[in-house]
Amino acid sequence: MKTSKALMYTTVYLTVTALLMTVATGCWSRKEIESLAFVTAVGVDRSPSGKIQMTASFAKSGALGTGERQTSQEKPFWVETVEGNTMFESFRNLSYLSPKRPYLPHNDIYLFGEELLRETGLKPFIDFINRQPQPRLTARMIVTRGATARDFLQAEFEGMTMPSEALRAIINNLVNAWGTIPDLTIREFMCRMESEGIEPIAMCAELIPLEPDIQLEGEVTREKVKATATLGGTAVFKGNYLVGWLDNFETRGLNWILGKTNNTVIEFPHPGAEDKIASVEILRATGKFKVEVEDDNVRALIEVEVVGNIGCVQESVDFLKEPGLWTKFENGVKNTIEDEIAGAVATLQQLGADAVGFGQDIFRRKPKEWARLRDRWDEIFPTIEADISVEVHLRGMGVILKSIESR
Amino acid sequence: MRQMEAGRISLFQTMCMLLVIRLTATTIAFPFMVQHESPSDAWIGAAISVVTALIVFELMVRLSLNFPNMTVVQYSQTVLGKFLGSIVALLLILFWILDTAVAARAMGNALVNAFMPETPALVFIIMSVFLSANAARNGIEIIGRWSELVSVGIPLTTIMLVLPFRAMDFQNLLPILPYGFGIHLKRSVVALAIFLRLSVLGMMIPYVHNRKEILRYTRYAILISGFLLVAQAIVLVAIFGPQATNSAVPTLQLVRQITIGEFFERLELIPVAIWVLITVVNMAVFVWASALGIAQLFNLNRFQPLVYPIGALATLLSILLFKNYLEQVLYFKYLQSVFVPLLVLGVYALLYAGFALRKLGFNRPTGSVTPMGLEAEADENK
Amino acid sequence: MIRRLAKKMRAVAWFGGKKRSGNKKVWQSGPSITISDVLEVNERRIRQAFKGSFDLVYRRIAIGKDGCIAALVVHIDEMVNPQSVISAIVERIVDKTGSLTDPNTAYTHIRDRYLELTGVTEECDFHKMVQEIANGNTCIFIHGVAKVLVCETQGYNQREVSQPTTEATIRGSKEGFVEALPTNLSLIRRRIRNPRLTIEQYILGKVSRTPVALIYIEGIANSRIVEEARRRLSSVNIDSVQESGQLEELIEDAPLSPFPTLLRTERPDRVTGNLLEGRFAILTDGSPFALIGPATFTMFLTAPEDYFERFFAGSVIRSLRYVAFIISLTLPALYVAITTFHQELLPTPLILSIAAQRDRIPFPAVVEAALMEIAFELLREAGIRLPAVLGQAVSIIGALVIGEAALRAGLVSAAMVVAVALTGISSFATPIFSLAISIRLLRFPLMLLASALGLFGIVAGLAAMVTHLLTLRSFGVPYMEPLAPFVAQSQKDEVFRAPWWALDERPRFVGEQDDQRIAPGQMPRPPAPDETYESDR
Repeated sequence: MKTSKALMYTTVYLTVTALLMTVATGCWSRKEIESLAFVTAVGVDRSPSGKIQMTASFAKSGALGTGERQTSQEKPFWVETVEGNTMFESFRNLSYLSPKRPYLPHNDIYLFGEELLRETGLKPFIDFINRQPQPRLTARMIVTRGATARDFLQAEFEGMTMPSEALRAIINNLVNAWGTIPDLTIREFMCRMESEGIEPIAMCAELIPLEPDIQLEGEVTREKVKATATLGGTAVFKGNYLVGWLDNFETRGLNWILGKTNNTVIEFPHPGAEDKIASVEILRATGKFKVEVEDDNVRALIEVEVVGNIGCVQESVDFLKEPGLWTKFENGVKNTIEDEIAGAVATLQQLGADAVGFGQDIFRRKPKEWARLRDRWDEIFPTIEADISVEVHLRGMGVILKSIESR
Repeated sequence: MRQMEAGRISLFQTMCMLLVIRLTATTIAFPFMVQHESPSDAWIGAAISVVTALIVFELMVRLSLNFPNMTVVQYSQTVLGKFLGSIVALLLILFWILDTAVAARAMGNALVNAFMPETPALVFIIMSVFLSANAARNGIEIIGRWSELVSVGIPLTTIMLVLPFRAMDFQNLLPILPYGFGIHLKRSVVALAIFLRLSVLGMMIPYVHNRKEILRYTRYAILISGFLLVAQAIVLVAIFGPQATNSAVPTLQLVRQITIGEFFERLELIPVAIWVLITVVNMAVFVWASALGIAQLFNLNRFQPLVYPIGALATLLSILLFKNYLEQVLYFKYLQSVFVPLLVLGVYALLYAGFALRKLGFNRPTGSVTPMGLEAEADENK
Repeated sequence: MIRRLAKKMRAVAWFGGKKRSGNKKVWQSGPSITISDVLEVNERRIRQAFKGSFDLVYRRIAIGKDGCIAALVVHIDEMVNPQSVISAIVERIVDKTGSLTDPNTAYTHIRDRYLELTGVTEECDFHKMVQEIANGNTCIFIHGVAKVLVCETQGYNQREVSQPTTEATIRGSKEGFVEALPTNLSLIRRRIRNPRLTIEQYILGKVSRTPVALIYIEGIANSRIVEEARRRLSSVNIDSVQESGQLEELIEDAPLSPFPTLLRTERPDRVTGNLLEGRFAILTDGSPFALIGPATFTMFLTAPEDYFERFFAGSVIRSLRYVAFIISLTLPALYVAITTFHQELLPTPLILSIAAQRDRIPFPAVVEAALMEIAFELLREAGIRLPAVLGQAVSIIGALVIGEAALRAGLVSAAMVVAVALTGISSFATPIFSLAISIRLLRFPLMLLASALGLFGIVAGLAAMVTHLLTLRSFGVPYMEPLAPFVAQSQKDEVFRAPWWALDERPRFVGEQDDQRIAPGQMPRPPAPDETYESDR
């Protein structure tokens, strides 16, 4: 009994000492929140000297939060640009300029300049994102077309002032209402990079310089908005390098095949009137493809099925009088979708980049055939014939039965 | 004669303990997938390991039930004689201590890699080993209740596997068997090596209430953990594709993919908490088993004084085992899958052989080992 | 070992660690003395025993024919009901004994026929008689008889039965215990009118001689647990018991644990509810708090109301209380861990908001949290101690100071204020005060751990705490039962409460003797329409 009491006291003593010791010494990874600068977007370019030029957009404290609301209209973010040999070095170099420690986990957007990706390739950068614990793989990857990422990060948006927030909102808009942008995260990008028979793609963005010297009035004290940005289209990679672009409608073509288009608007020549245009809202779409291999002859069967409503027409129609028009409308939609798909496939074949994943399909379903074709896939891919079949079901026509007629 | 371990555990607690031990390895790090040669159908290997584990433990438990009041350390001496039996028992005990060290190091490393890079892993290791030794000191009952509590982590883990459904693409699971079946047979050994941690069951059986049913509950434990293993292999590949084999902490990455409604995200806190707790309980079982085993081997009166020294030993080992993270990965991929099955299966093969010989009438002169607590329990089990 | 420690604690607490040798003699009653048949001897002895205290009343009366028999009535002035002493004793015996001459006849007549009181007993032992006077009873001596009549005349001012102040409910009984043991016993007896409700009396406290009652229901309570309770009560050796809290520290299982292993309550319905589950209760005279044992952890998160509200509401409220428990234990620690280690765990807008608030705060997060928590504890303590009128003012000032001024002055961040407020509210949601106190204590080490090791620190701290909880037992019942060891049957009445018609079994361990509580199959079903109502024709 004596010993166990002594043991008990010893245990208590040791525990308390251990607790005090950890408290006294344990500050290894401590970083008080106010000493951090939250990075919300990172842009990577090639500097004139051939190094990496990293641009980070930091959120100012209280930019998004409520707290004590700032009344002045100053920009809620600031941007810094540094150079370095590797991504890691560049990121650390940000500390030379920022009094607060750059902190990456809240970053949602990675922007890459077009020039960089065409010449240096992506590998040196993606390794940092993948290896370090801080970056999140749910972030989006955007390629800036015809501009540097640095310029791009200076762009501002009305409504949402933080560029990262605004870009994410626009991406969501496009994904949900147009389907003209590839919907994928960095994780999916890397997944494509490593998989057999498929090439990575990324979102594409362009800079729109605004009219010079817009006078902003009222209490606005900050500098005028110099540029804004728009998204849409696809950056197509081949392996490590950026090789080309798909425009908005080709992107939608690709999304039809992949079944990633949800809600979108399709315009096509009005079947009932010359030089007029009708539009249809697509509500749901399913897309799938199958690749058939006979010796070296590869054919892709693409099947798309869409459901939509009449959106609006430039010339009035009365389906009750002319029921045949309904089918013609459906055919109009069908042709447009077919064109978009054919366009996407053709452009990809021209670029030689199998961004659809025809090769992957062969690998998944017929691994043996793939082993045979794999090394020659670059030759075979441009020769693939695509059989496109689109099924269109128009369901509704809004809340009226016929258009207003002018007498 | 007073019993060294007076505690009793229920079948359910036993099952929870087995689950906890098996899932420690998969909750955040997932050694089975590390550098898998054929990720798309990796789950086949996992499934094979479940089947082999079922067979192995069927035999193990049946052997143990022939000596219902003895731990494996005790009956190994009855079966193989004092000398050989002691060596065999010592091997098992060393394996458990080693596994404690490995579990501690794996947890420390992952915490450091993924969360707190500046903190020395030793801090995490010391604290968690101390906690588990403390639990082990209180005997099997406390560990059993602990494992019941942390088993809440199992449904939570399952939910974690389902939640990132939006990021899953099950097409990634194709093709099946592109590189043949052999890879999976080889790979299943990696998972089996981790299943063999459950050999610590040999120490628990004498303390289980109603131990006739133990076989059934062992099967449940293997099936549930096996199901989670397979599900995890499938989900990881569905989300990360070929990248699944590349992550040091794939399950943590997986939880990072969960985003529901823009706000319900960044849930890493939950799996990390579960994982630390599960590891602590797992180590507690091992520390308890090795302390009790040594005490029985050397006919000591109490096992409690051994608990902290064993914890210290495990801490030391965990530091000395691997020089860097690369060595840890290599250990999981190669070394463990060779020596663990060799050791555990070898030991049990020997025990079985000895047992069969005895049964056939080759009654070797056994040492006069009286297993502790045998008399006390003899009538309870009639 | 625990008992040794308990003994030691007792010594430290009451005698400053030293035993005074003189004590024994004073509190030992010495050789037994019989009562003399001479009134003067008796009176002198009593005066001696009470050291001449002025509040003793010695009333000489002359009874019998022409007052030929001398009698003496002794009682303590303020401990008796004057009504019963004057009218029921003095007047009556003077009136009735008018024809008697023999003291012995008078004595037996008074004992058997004349007194209209409920309790009249005979006593020969002097020391016991003195104790009876101290208890507030009245003694009647008759010259020439070496015996004394002890009449129950206890009567003193006591508080009215009123609403329990620490455990208020909306639905359910509004009665709370008072300080007087008989009243409290009546509150229980009234709720369980069954002869098997057993009440055992213990007189504890060498000096105070406080009556303590051990209550259980024979046939439901586990006899081994009751036996253990008896053993612990009778081994209590203390000078006085003023409050059940003293008793609690002397008989609990884990005197060094921050967690209470006996449940304190001032609600009679809570006591009866637990008696019916097979537990026992200990009531102390002078304390409105009953002790219930064996207590398990989940009992502390239960409120009587859970059983009175319909089960949906009861279940939701109770599970909310579990959430509140977790919040009140861990929220400040989580705040510290997240703002100093794991900023990646919060969504971007939220973390930016917190960062903005913390921007000009001069303290590290852990100091900020500790400051606020301490300020809050002070405020709470001050609020309790002050008179009710001032309490309001204090809480207003405190709320203003902490909530507004500190925030404006940039000493603390708004998020911290919210966290502290939430923690405070959550800790108020714990129905039993003794657990709430332990949680308040445990928050601070958790916060320290969180500031040193972040999330890992919290998990490690909680793990140590749970290991401790798992080793606890209360009168042999595992403290964390039925969570661990997991008892599937008992889950009906843990985090959720099943409807009454499904709560068919008493809890394991404590209610094993008679485990059927409700006859099965009582889920009410409305009768088929045509049986009761005339259907529309």
